[in-house]
Amino acid sequence: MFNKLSNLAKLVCTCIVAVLLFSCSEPPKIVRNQYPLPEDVEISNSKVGKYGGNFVLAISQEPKTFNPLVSGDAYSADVISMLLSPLVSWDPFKQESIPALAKSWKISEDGKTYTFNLRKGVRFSDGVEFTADDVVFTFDTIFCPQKDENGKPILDKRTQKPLLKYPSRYAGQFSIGGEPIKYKKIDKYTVQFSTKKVYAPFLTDIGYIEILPKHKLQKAVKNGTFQQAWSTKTAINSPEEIVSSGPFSIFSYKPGEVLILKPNPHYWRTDKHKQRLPYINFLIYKFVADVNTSTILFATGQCDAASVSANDYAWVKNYANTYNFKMYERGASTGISFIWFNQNPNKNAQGKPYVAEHKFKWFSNVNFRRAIMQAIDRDGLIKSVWFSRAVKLHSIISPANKKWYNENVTKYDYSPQSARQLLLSEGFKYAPNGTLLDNHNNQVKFDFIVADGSQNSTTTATTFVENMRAIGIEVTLKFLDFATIVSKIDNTFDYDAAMIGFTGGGDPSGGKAIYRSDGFLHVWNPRQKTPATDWEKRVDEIMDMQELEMNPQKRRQLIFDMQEIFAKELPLLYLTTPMSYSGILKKWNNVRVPPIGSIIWNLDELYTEED
Amino acid sequence: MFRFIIRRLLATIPLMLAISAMVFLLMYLAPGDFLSEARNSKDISPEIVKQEEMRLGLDKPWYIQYARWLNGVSPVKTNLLLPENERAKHSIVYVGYPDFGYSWSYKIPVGSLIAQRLFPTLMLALASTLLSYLIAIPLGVLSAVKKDSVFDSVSSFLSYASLSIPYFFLALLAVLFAAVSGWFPTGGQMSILHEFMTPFERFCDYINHLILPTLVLSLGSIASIMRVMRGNFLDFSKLDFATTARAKGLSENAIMFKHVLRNALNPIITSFGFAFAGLLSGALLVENVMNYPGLGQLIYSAIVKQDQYVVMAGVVMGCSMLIVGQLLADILLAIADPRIRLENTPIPFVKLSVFTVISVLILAIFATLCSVSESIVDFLKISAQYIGIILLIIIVIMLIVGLVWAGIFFYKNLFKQSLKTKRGAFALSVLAIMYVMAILAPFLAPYEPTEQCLDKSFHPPTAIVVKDWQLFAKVYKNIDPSIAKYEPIENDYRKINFFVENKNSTYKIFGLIPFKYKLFQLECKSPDDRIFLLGSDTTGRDVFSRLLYGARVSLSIGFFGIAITMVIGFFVGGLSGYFGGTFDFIAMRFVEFLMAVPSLYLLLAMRSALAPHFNSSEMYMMIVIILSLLGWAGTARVIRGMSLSLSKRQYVQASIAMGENPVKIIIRHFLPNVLSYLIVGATLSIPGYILGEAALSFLGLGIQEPSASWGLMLAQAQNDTKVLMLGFWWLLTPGIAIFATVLAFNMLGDVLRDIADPKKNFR
Repeated sequence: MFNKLSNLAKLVCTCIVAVLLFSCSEPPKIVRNQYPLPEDVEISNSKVGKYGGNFVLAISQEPKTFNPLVSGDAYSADVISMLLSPLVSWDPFKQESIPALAKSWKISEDGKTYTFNLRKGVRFSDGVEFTADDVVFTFDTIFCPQKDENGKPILDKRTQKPLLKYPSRYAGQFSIGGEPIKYKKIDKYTVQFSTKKVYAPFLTDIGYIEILPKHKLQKAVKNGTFQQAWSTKTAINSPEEIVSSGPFSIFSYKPGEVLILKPNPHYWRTDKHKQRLPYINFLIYKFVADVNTSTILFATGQCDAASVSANDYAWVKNYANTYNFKMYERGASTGISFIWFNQNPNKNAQGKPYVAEHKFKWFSNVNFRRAIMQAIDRDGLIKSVWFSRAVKLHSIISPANKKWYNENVTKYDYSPQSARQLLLSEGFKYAPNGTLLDNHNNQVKFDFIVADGSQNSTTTATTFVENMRAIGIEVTLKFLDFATIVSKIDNTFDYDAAMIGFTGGGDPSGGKAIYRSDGFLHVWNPRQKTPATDWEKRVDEIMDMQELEMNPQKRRQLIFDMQEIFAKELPLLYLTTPMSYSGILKKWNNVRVPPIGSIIWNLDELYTEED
Repeated sequence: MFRFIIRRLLATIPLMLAISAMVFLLMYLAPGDFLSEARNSKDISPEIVKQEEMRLGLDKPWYIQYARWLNGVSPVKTNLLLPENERAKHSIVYVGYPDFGYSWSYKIPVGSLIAQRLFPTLMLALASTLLSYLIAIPLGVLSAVKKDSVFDSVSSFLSYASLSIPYFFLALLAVLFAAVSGWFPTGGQMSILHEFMTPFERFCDYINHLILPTLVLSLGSIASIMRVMRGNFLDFSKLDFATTARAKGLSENAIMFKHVLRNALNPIITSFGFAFAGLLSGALLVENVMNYPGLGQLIYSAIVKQDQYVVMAGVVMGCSMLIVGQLLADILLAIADPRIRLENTPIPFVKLSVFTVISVLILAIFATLCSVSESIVDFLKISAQYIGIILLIIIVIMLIVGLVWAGIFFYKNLFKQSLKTKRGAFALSVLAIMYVMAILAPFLAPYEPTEQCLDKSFHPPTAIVVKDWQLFAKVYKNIDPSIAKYEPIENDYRKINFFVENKNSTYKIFGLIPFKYKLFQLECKSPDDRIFLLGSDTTGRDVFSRLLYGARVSLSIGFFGIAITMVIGFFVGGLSGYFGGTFDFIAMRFVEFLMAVPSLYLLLAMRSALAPHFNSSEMYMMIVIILSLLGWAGTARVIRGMSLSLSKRQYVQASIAMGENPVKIIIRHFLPNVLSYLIVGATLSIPGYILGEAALSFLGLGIQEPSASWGLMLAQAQNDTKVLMLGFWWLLTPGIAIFATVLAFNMLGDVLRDIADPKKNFR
């Protein structure tokens, strides 16, 4: 017995020692500057730094794919932007497009032809050269038609346009005036694009798509598996398959735990001493359960940078000295949040109107909406929920979007008294017990659907309920999961009022889906065949005009007009937008904080003196 | 032994089938599926969605999907259930590895996902089980040896206390402690840079992350093991063999530690298996709050995200752990106690197969029913309403007849005796205060539970001063709105008036007599003057008022639940004990089935399946029904045992012979005999309901804003990180309220147990 035991103990000990000795521990060394620089290398203006250091980011959602044409969520897009470069990128300081894979471009006099000169000698991370073929391949993939047995493109029965083999949002976005853009290779380093009509936001739209490596993906495009190519499975099993042209490439991916990126040895940027960027050894994405956790990790010095919500800033800043990080106030965020009433006039399949007739009368009455707007205590919300770290929204574009924001729109201040007056003047009346009745003696009450899970939206919703009670309106809160809400506001339309938020910013053309009456995010009455009201018609016209307008001043004025319409007509009851904050550990140098956008937009230039 | 194990394992197959089918159906009933998001997002074309639907098999009805899943899991498969394009690859029957399907949200096979999460959970389970045994056994022995000493009473009070703290509340405190002290990591299983560590550092890293969750998880079980150990030790030390040893002149130490201890350890060893089985359920909340990446967290997020196959695999894992744990318990008992022969209790093979056939038949009927009426949800809703009404009537009748009877019985036989003991008096008075406060909430609470004051977000508790024999509340100023820091203004007070008429009050006593008085109100100089006895929350709602109104939900849920549980438990148990035979067999198998279901997971799945169809007040009913439908099994089992022995008594036999009808016999003759058990059992299981509601609301699945319940109020402290980080401690008071109530019920239950039956061990 004793012998047996000691044998067992010996075995266990040996095993433990073996595990301790042989399991790999130290990170592999990164070899620097082993390949010659490309002919058209870009030299960064930033201060020269030194190699080393790991950069840790905590994110609450994992990338769903590494294929830029499949990705639809911000988290995947963020990671992909570290891996693949587009033709053109954005300088957040100058607020203009700057060269990326294209070293320069020329726009023809009539504004319809764009010629891009590509950087010579740029290589993907596996050493294969990047050329015009890759650009053409990327657009070929986007517009790749579905073919029948005879090799003929299949046409959509409704639109008579070819069906796409790999449908993505880009195909629609890159069709200007209903026609796909034309593109051709001029020579190995030149590509030319042409559009049928003038399209003002061409550069920011088409120049920003990540270019795919033809030599890696053309097989998948041919055999029809492109949509499964470069999935998370690829990253787990063979990360080297996902070749990159950006600052990083994939080192390892463990779902649920971490994604580790390493420097791309063929990256096309260097510092002034001809040291190839980036300086960082490893970029580590740590996956955490929720945003709260990532904030706690940053506040306790366990990750290097984070954006911190206005809600958490109050306590995170207390830790700045302990853990040596610096917080930056970034101004109001570009997102908008709002409450709205269902104004869909149609009927469902059973012939029942989506919104009960008497309710529809209230909701489509602009003065009713104005009264509700005046009864919402947004200042109080800012004070209590955001600890004064938020601003009121007055129209559909956030003040953070400085280039396009119209300050002088119609505004509605908190005043329950004038809300009551306005309601009375519209034929509503108050019952002896204080409830509001309309002119047919229907009690004014409605359901209000809110996504569950977020503390802030819950408090906003309960405040709204109280505010409505103050003017005699009975609101019933219904908490639903986000998917159910989306299907209600988009498919079944069986709701009275709802609340959501949109992330925003950038060129107003990106908001077409919200502004235009045929847009699918025109939430109060989406996908109209013809505009239901005069003002919606006017907005449609403005959106068409601004796309053709090449004069920036005039284009801005058009967007200003649109905001005034949205402020006057109040299809949405705009709430607040919180201030945004970013923080980064003090050990990182070359940090330049832009007015809007990510604080680590120049991650390839960051370096640390520490080891 | 071997045959026993095989038989036991075989018997679990129908159980697993039934549970997995039930969970699968629930997942199917839950609105939306994994593709809902994709379907709604306009970036993704309908063609892609359709293609994905085909690939995932979502276009098929649920029973086909379930059959496919079963086919994947079983080692012997058929190709008939495969998608058409894969059918040709396999023969009609082939053998393959069990395949638990594919996680939609993680995009990897469920098997590898579970494997990845299993290790941390097992580590946690093992560590906390070991820790609790290592601490509890010596403590139990020590307090038994030093019975009635200060040590004994302190440790028994502490064990009550730790039994009564809700796990999630303790976990919340632990996270707070970690964040404030900085001694421990605030979550996770390993550091971010773990990948780049030396093996020794890695090992330390694991341990470091394990400490807090282990402590939190083992605290409750330490208490219960300690109490069992103490009781056993005392029992055995009074037995004959100990007396003999004493008479032989053995030293007291030798008697205690050589003879008594060994005997007393036996039942503890058995409970090891059960403890292990229960850990997965217990770990769910702790893992969630402490952000520990184990199975519990995985399954919870999978339920929320509708990641169907992960939920399925998780529930199967949970069941297996439960079954293996129970098996382990039986085997350990057989090893520890040579008197017990496992072979003596074989399950008759015929009955087993009958049972299997019956359960498969029930499933098949259920399946066809579901496939015929696609609107099963409507059916459920309507039937739930009717069931609700019927149950309501039953409850009302129970409340009027049963509870009054039980109350009289309690008052006559137990009340005075329990008042005589210190603990009983203490517990009774705490409970009396709680319930009186809940009933009088509109009178005691200075404000409505939803009344906001947006200027006074996170206001600290108001200080009260006495001047000239009158009470005054201090007035506070928000000196730093950016962190909600308040300071009292010097020499600015507001008078507190008592018995004030409030014109706005719409409260009616028992819903009949309008009542316009409040116990106390502040004499306001401005409309925003407030008195916050326990501070305020984000929107400046009075925590004290919400606590009182929340008590109505949290305290009543236990009573309603227990009423249903006891009625069902009594009748099922009584009838099956009385009749025996087939009825008994089926009822007991059903009871075993319910006891084997990992109830917390089932609760979550049911809740998410049914939630969108109910509003907040219906939800309250729903929680009561779900909790009590899962809870009656234990009662039924004990009552069956009792009625089995009662039915052999002469007077019962006599009345059977006289042709009295069974229900009458059960009510006339059985009920008085088991009533004391029912009361004690009810007292001891009410805490389960209170904690269950709190946990559900805490997870955001129970009572919804703007209503108040204790669990919901605690959820704010969990969801809004600044509450803990900026030290708004008063938002944790609902946790203390839960603690006090549960503690009181546990104490009262113990006292009643001692009075009702000093010899028998009820649990």
